[in-house]
Amino acid sequence: MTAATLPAPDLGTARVTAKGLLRSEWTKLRSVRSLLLTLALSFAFVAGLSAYLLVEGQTLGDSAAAGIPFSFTAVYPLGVLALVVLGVLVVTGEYSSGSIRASVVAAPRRTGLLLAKAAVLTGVTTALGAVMSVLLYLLTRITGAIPSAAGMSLFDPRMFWGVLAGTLLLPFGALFGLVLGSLVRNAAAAITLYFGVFQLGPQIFPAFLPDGVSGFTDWMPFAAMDVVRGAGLADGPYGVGTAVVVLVAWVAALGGVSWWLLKTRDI
Amino acid sequence: MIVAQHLTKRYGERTAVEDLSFTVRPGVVTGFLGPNGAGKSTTLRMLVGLDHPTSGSITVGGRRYADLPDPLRHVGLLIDAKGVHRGRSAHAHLLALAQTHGIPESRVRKVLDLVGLGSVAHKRAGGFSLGMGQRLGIAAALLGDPEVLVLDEPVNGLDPDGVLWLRRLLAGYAARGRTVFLSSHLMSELSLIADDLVVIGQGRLLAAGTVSDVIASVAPASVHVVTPAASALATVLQGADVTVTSLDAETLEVQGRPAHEIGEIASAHRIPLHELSPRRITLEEAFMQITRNAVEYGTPGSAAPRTSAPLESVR
Repeated sequence: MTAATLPAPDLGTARVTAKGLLRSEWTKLRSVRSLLLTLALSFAFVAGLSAYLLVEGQTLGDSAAAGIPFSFTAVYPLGVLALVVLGVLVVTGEYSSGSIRASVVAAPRRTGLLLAKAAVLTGVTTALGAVMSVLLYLLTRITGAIPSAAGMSLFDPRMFWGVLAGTLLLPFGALFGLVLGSLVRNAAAAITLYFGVFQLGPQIFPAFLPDGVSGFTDWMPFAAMDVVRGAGLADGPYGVGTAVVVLVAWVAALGGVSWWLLKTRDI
Repeated sequence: MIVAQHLTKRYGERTAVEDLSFTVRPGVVTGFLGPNGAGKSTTLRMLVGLDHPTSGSITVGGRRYADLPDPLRHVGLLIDAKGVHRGRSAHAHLLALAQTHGIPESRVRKVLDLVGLGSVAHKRAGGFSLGMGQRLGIAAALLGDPEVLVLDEPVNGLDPDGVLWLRRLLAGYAARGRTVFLSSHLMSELSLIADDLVVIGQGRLLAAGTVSDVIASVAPASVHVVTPAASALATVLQGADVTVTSLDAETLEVQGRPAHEIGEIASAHRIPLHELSPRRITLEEAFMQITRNAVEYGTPGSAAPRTSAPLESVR
């Protein structure tokens, strides 16, 4: 075990690549039990609760939900909350453990690191969300708990857009958490920021603000998520298209600031 | 080859590193010395792009670290042992780093075996001792078989076996023409493995050069001679650049002639010698001297510290 036996490995082709960064982030995500548990429990909880409602048949069969074919996505917002926390932990875990230094030393340009992290988390949560939604759709058909969904194809526009919107909110939550986490670099601060400003804010802020200004809470992510989730069936301050733009703009703006801070701040 | 040019780093009002310029040669082990808070870690962090210099530059092989397409192939860094997610295994930690560069998994296993962590590779790193964490950090540094190995306090927490192993590893690394740059508080350890030294204090360069040059700049090597014919010997030892000091009737302190020369001269003149021993201050004493000068006299950027300081003042 002396240095003389240190083999000269064939690493001549080693380079930082996008593919390499993606694989690295996937390894990081799957190799920490607490992250996997948060991910698994987020989906298990939503899937379990939705399945219970479908089997029980009462809640989703009542007048309000009965007319909405995709009302089995009603509890998805709870999953969004859990995935915000997951997104926060994926980033802040690197800062609290100090492994961010090793990560940045391996990818010193930093941008690819953030993008790969976002892509892997979004990809994984999108895939799991899609699987969950398909399974819940099938269960809806089997149990017949939602009268308006009877005999309706998953790709029927009245079904499809609602399911798609509900499903995509899950990766959006994860991405939003990731962006908040990289903004403040600390799990407690990021989660407090989320609940204080984005979750409870829309109810609290109007009390402190003059009437003319308080309408801005309609443009916060939570309101926009509600619009998207309704897929055009619910009344909202603006349409689904605008809501999607609002959500993307929030992630792009906060993500842009996080990226700029990551590039310019010392680690 | 690491080159720092007028490297400066300020955190608000506080200056961590100021106008620091030095070169680290390939093929040797260079020790990086300085008291706590001298700016060693800050310098190393700027080397690998963790911190951005306020001004000046520090490059590896002529390029900024962040501009390298394959940074892990150029620099292997150990900066803090506990930089691993507690819930992640040593294997997964290294694999995630290796994958960024497309370094094969076989290399991960190889470096884990090399640092002696092969048997605990799949255990959660949260349970690692300080020494094991240090070994994992060294494994991460070796991952890309880099041209330059940069280690901040590498012997922290290592058992004597580990220290010996690391010493051999670093010597072998340098012998293969690679650059080894390490900081350590343990002077005795450094004096065993370092060829060159860079000494900083309060963010400024205090001394740089080979170990013997740096030590000699503080106190030139001298030879302690005891002889009943002290004055006779003193006369015959005279020459250019030779200083002979008489401590008492039988004792001489000679600077400028090595011990073997003094012995030969004494023998040629049939002068009996009772004692003939080379005196050299240790690296630790030299370091104390250099850094104390920096603190006491505040010599800005003094690369040549006072050489007239008496030896006694070291203690």
